[in-house]
Amino acid sequence: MSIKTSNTNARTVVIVRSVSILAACAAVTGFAVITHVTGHDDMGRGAIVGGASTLLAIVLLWIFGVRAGTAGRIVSGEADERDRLNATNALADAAKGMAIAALGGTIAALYGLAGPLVGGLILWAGLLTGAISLVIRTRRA
Amino acid sequence: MDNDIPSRRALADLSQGALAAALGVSRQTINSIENGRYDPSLPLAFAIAKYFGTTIEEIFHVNQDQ
Repeated sequence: MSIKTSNTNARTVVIVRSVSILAACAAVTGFAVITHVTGHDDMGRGAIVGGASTLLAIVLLWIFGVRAGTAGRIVSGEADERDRLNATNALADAAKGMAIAALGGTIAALYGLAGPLVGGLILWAGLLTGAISLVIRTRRA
Repeated sequence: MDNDIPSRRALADLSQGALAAALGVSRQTINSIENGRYDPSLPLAFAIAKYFGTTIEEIFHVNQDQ
């Protein structure tokens, strides 16, 4: 029986990291194109600067091999089974947070709250719920 | 789930980090398993048993209180 406990072999890590960087670049570029086409250039520039800075920080962490916590291992493609379980559960919590925020945002929109604010509210609710959930779950499990 | 990993690790004079590196998981995962906060997957349980040259049943025990 072959036993595979993690994806930490060097080749897999390189592949996961390369695909992650390409996917992140594509996501940032796609968002920037959409904002440009719809006339929101400032938002697009912000996404490019923020995305490029974040990706640069991630690459530097990979190069210098900083000891990673759960989030670092997930980002760098070195997560083990416990990290992946915690991340999956945190994402599920983030989705629940966003669903609740969407409900609240819809009601707030009926009372006149602007659409972009509702969108921002939902995104931040998801980000914060996911981050807090990941911290709590990592400490408990 | 209780386990004998701490005692077996001590007998082998092995740190949590060294065991984690040998099994391809993080030190925190080994710590969580030892403290009963995380139950490993079947493949990881087999890998742990194989590492110590024994069987899963010899290392992991059902906690009757749970």
